[in-house]
Amino acid sequence: MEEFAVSIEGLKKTYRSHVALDGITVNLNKNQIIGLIGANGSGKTTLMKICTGLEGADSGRIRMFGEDARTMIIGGEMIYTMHDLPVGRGYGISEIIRFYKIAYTDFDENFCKKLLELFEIPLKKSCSALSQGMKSAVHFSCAMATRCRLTLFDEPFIGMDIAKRKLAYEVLLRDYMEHPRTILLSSHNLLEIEGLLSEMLLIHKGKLVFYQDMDDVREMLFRVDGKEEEISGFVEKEDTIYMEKKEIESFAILRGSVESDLAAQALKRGLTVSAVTPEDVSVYLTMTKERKGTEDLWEC
Amino acid sequence: MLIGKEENRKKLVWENIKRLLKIQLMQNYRFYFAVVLLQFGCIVCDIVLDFTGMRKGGGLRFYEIGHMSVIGTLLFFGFLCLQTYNSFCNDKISMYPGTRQSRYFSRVILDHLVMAGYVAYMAVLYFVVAGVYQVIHQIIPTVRTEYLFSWKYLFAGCIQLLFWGMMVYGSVMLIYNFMAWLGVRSYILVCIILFGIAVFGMTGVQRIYLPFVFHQYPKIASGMQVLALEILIWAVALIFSSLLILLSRKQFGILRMAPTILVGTMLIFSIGLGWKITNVQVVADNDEYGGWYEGRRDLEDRGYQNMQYRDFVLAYPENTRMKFFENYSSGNFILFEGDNENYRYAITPFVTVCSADEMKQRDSSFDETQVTKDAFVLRLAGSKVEYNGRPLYQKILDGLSLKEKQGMLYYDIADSLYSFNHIFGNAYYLAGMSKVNMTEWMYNVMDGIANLDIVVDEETMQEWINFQKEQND
Repeated sequence: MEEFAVSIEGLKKTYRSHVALDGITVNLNKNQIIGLIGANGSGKTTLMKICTGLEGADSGRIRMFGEDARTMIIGGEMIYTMHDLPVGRGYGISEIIRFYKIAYTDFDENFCKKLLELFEIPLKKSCSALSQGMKSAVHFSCAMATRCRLTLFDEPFIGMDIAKRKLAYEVLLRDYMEHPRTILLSSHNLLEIEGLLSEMLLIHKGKLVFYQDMDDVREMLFRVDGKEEEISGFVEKEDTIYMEKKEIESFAILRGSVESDLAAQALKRGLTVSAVTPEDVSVYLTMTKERKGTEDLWEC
Repeated sequence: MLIGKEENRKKLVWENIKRLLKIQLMQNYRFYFAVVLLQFGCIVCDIVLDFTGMRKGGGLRFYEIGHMSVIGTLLFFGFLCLQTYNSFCNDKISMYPGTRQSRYFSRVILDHLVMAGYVAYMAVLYFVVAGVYQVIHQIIPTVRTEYLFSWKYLFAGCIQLLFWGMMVYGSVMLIYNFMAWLGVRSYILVCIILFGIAVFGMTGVQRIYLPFVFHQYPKIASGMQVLALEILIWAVALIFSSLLILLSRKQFGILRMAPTILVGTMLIFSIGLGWKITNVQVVADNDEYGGWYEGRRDLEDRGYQNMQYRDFVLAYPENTRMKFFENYSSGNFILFEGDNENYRYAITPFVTVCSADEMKQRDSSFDETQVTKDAFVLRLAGSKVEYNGRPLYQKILDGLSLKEKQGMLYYDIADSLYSFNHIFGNAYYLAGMSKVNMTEWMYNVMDGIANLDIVVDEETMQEWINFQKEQND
């Protein structure tokens, strides 16, 4: 029995001089909803496209469920979807459903139609005539209905209003519980999808930052607030991820959980200690330590 | 175990290709439907126009089905080939399971199946047209229908159309390969070089500077040679493209300008190398027909062996006998009885006056007893061209009747409406040959009747010789 859903080994991809993926090695666990997080241009889409065979890697190897990735791809056991797939102009949604039905043997047409009804998408309409949010809903619904062993969602909720997004999150979670499978979900809105995720994969500038369980991510960093001299006297360079000095109140981001010894020491010194959300974790771990503020923008 | 895995993988790949094929088939069904309708419309237009013309009556006329369907054919192959730029990335099916290889092969297989389907549809239309003209024959009995159907033409037409389409398809794909492989800049450089060669080709300079390259191409004339060339180009193009897909790691995105560049390049290739885009007309049912001059030369070289002829016995125009001979020996028309002043249906043969003995020497089968003191023989000879294995001018000559009125010859013709089914292209139009031109032939249908021998008795012949001497003096 293969332990991992996806095993990536030394994956490299370059577009001319731009390094999109720089030797990523990671093993993704089976039957998890994994958040693929990273800033713009960090290599999320490239990673997904290489997984689905839409792009070729310069070097490295991908295996899925212990098999060659291509076998999974051609077998229709994985799906990659995004907010704006090139479905072609003039195709009605019912036609697209028909295409999906041919492409994926386990495609649940009934479920797909129910989902589209839930998202208030008229089946007779042409896909190219839909709004961005509606297109996202169509692709999301179709992808969910394939029930593939490996589902890759690349920014699937773009353009959807908050009500539809909440609905989509609910559907995703519920259907995952009904039909457990591996879902890799990339999004910039980590705050919203945090509750869905069981694991998180953070990449930055084509490199893997971490792949952790969400509980571990939540305990990865903590924040201390206080006066600049108090914080400066407390923090040690190796523990500090980020520090922002301000005249009245300064703060630092440190490694460890709010229940760590370091956090307890901070509390003892009268500093305020708080948890760092996974969204902030992804921000602080991918920014330079001494970030240049925005104040310069308004200076004469 | 490994063998089993490999077999399983092969099965999966084939299943995947089949699924992608099905999806693309459904994605493009509107296009296929439009092509079916367009071609059907073209044929209907052709038939309606012919039928309207037939009802007007008149002299000998040839009706040809297929002018408009050639437009449909060009549009169909043009559209299909212009889409080949997308065969490497196949963005419309990229969202469905498949690898670059399976997407490419499913696309290539589909396009070839569609081409074959189109040819099959044209074959069906060929049958339909033959049937429709049988019905027309019931309404207008003078319409001849024996030239409407030929298995040989149908077979040659299908093969030629299919391989021509495959050649163009492969060529366009190859051109796009160059573009994707070399990059647009290098590709343009290659185009400029090719264009230079093409200009050489057009100006004729190639015969001096590059004879080894260009010497042979004007000779590419036979259907088999053209077919071999088409298959060769198609095979090379497809093998090259497939290898590139299988071996290259490079991604082929869509180049937005690709269709325009491709069309331009194809034109350059076509003009430069002398292969017309309308090579769909490369179907030869009979390549013997040479028109008026050829007919005369044949007569001089081989006598009546290579001609079809018929003898008409007419009474001498007593008073104007010498004047009549003078008129026709210096070249005059045989007019159609119902013709108006533009002499549209006139026959313009090369005329000789000879005695019955002379004619007997030229053709031993000639019956000299027909020539008497009161009657002379007019031997009209036409090209031995055959269509559907049936002599064409023999039929025309058989239906012809001649009469003389005031020193002029007039003809009338029975069953004067000849229909040809050319939906696979013009049967007499050969690639790289300019001597056979159906269009010209169509407007001068009687040019095929190239010779008129006026065969007279000895006494009249002597009188004619004396008359000529007097005139010369």
